[in-house]
Amino acid sequence: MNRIWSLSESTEKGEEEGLISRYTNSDRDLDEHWISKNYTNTEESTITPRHFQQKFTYYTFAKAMENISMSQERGHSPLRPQQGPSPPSISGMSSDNSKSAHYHVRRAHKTPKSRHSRARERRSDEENQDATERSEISHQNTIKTSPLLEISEEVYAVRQAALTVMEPLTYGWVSVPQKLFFFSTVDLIGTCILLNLFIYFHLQS
Amino acid sequence: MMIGGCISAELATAYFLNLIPHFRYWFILLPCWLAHAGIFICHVLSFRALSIFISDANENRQRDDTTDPYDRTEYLPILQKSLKFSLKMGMISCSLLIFEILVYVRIAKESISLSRMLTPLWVVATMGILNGIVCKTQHILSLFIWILLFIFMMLLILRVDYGVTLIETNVIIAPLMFLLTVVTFIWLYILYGHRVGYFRLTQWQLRAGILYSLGTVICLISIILLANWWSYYPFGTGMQVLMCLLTPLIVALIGFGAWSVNRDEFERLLRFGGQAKVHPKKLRFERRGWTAVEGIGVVSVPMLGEIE
Repeated sequence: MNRIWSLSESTEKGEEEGLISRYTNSDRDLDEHWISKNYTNTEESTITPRHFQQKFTYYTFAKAMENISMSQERGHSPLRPQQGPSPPSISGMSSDNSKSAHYHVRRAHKTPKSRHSRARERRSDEENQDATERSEISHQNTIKTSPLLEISEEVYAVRQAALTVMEPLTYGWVSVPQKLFFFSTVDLIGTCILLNLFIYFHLQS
Repeated sequence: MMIGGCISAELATAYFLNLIPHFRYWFILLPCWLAHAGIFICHVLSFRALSIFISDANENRQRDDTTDPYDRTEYLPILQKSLKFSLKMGMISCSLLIFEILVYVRIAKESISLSRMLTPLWVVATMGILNGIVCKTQHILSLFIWILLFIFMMLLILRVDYGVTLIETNVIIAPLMFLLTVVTFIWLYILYGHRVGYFRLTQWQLRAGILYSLGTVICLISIILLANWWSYYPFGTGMQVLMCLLTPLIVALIGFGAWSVNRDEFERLLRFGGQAKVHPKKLRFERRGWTAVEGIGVVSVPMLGEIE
C-alpha cells in the first residue's frame, strides 16, 4: 500500500484511533501556525498547495503521535492531545525517544515512474485540468474536516483517471462549479420570482 | 435535469391553476424530456471516457515496465462503482421518462386509466415494500414510507377510477402528508444529530441534508395549500403566483441536494478509493455462542449515502 503512514502492529490501535478521531479542528489551527513556522526541511523545491496539504496532514499525524508519547511520559491520558507549546522542531517523523508508545510512520516511497505512467499522468493532467482544479478545491475543503490521511501521487493519478468515467454522470442534475453553487441557487430562485411577478402583473393588467 | 424539471413544474402549476390556460400538454413536458436527453448525453460521455480508459489500460498492460497489477487494485473498484452508479441513474431516468409519457397520454389523450398511469410508481413501491419485508436491509421507517405511498395511490385510484365518493380529498391526501412529515423529521433528526455529534456528515452531505429538509417542508406546505384549494375555496391571484413559485423551488432544492450527494460520492471515491470498507462489527452472545453482528458505526441513508 502506498499510504503515507501506517501503524505498527505493536501499537495500541484503539488509543490511536481515539486520538485521531478526537484530534479535531481546534487543534488544527494551532498546528497550521506551528507548521508554517517550523516547516523548513522540504524535499521539493516548490510547494504547491496540495503538497502543503499532504505535508500538513502528515505532520499533523506526526505531531499527534508526539503528543501521545509526551502525555504518556507526563502520565496524562493519551487520548486527548495537550494544548501546550509544541516541540521546537521535528527532525524525524517518529519520536524514537518514547518507550511507551512504539509506532513508526512510513513515508510514501516515490518509486521511479515508468515512461508510460509519466506520459499517462501528463495526458490526464492536460485533459482534466479544470476537473483537477475543482477537485483540488473540494479536496482542500474536505480534508479540513477529515481524519488524517494522505494519498500518494501515483494512486491519486490512477483514481483521477478512473473517475473520468464517473465525472460526466455527476452533471446529471446540474452542472455548476462549486464556487458558483450558491450563486446558481440564488439565480434560479430569482428567475422563478421574476417569472411569477411577470405573470402576476400580466394578470393584473 | 433540475432546470428542465423546474420549468416543467412551473408551467404545469400555472396551467392547472388556470393562470395560463392555453398551453399544449407536450409543451409543458418538453423541458423534462430535454433534460432526459441531457442525461443520455452524460451517459454517452461516460461510456466514451470508459473506452478511452480501457484502451489506455490495455496499452499499459502490454509494456515491460507495466504498473497495471498495482493500478488495477485502485481502478477496478472505482470502475465497478461508476458503472453501478451509471446503471442506477439510467434506470431512474428511464422510469421517470416512462412516467412522464404515461402522464402525457393520460391527460392529453385520456386513453388510459390512472392505475395504468401510475405503473412505474406501483413497481417502485411494491419493490420497496418487498425489499423491506424479505431482505430486511431497510430501516423500518423506510418500509413505513413505502406503505404510506402505496396507500395513497390506492385511495387515489379508488376515488378517480372507481368513483368511490365516500373517500374525501382530505383522506386521500392524509397518507401523503404523513409521509412528508416523517421524511421531514428524518432529515431534521439527521441534521440535529450532526449538530450534537451523533452523526458525522461530510460537507456535501450536510448541504444535501439542509436542502432536502427545506424541500420536503415546502412540499408539505404546498400540498396542504393545494388540498385546501381543491376542497374548500379557490385561490386568489396572489396565492396562485405563490404556488407557481413554490413548486419549482421544491424541485430545485431536491435537485441541488441530489447533486451534492453525487459530488460527495465522487470526492469519497477520489479520497478513499473504491475498495469496500471494512466496518468493525459488534459481538453478541447468542445460544450458539458469540457471533459478529452488523456494527452501528455506519448507517446508509437513502438519498444521502453512508453516514458515520
